[in-house]
Amino acid sequence: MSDFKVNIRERSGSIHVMELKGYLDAHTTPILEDSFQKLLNEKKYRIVVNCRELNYISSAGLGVFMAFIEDVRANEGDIKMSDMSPKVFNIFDLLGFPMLYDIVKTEEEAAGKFSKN
Amino acid sequence: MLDDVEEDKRTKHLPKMKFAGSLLIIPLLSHDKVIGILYATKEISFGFDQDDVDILAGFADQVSIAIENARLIERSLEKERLQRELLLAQEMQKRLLPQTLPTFANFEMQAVSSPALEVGGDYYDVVQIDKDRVAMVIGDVSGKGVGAAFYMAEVKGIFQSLAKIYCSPKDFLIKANEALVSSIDKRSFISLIYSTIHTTTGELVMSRAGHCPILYVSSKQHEYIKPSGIGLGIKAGRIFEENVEEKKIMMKSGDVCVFYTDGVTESRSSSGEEFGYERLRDVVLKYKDRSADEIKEAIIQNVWNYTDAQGYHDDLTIFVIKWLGA
Repeated sequence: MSDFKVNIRERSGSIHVMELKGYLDAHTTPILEDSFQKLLNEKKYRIVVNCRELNYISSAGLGVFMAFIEDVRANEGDIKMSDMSPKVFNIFDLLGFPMLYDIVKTEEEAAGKFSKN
Repeated sequence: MLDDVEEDKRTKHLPKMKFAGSLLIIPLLSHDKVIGILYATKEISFGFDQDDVDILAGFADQVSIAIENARLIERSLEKERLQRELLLAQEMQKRLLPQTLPTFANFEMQAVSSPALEVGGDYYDVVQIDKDRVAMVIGDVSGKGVGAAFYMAEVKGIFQSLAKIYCSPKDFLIKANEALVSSIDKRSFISLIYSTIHTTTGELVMSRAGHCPILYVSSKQHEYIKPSGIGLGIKAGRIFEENVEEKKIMMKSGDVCVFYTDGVTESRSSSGEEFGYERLRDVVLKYKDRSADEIKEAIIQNVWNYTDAQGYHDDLTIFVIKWLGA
């Protein structure tokens, strides 16, 4: 059974950081979905996804981001991503995610992309 | 066993049962789980003796076995029915892929597709769009199994109907995206390459919607070609249109183009390492002087050998074009 974990923490500017760890595939996507749903239920729409410890993402995993992005953006928030390994970035890149999402090098940079208020 | 129902404190919360003086309750067990209860009553108190209990307990065992058997038969009939349906789906889907590819004087085309489960989400197809040009498509629906197979059928419908109208790969992808964005669920997408081949000049024009890059091997060079483009069904409108690019190459005698789905590059060895782009390139470089059919076979054989111990793979499709012409 593949292993996947999400850790959520808050940082300044009402930004919530989701740290993804492990192998995100069809078996483990419910864990990520629950985490997004939890943030949305609490009306937390400024989200940075830190992918430093994400080893793999399958098409089902990519689908989770697509499922939530509209809701998040409709509430003036965004999902920004950071710290991807070249291998994981390649998967997002092939599908054209960099044209649809802010994908940056560091969590700091991702957080900075949210307007200050 | 309740010898005297009226006096027994365990029945105090129940409405009075005038017909029952004594009551025998036997659980029906199957694999240590209660699947039912057998009740026996007598009008008089102390109506059951040990023989009655033994006989009814034996009867209860028989009933449990009969219920369990009936359930097993029902389940196996249901399973058989589902297997038949799945087999039918598999046959139907095989028919959605070309049974044979057309042949041309100046180039060879060879393809193979193998689903991970009974049905899959990979698709390839070829259609003659006018007297000089042939369109080919290769695509991969996100996910596996029956859900992916339905979308694959939809993609075929789109390809067959739009290819002859929108011959430019870029225009085709824009129209295909429009059709798919509104019909597929928001967490699914389709990666696809649409390409046209001029049957006499060897001009190959291609656009990519989120799909794996094309491996191009000529006598002088080899490269992965990756025109910009977002996967189909992800985002409607201008952002898709502005980002989809068209690339052209002129194929020369001996040149090879390999289109494939990520089941090839993401196949894993028993140690978890992916087959990857470099191994794919190396196989094609080694076999580039052989026929398109031999190149295709070499790739699939290498992927199988690589993943041997695991016996599991994603949907996997390979499409090889080899230019022979002048």
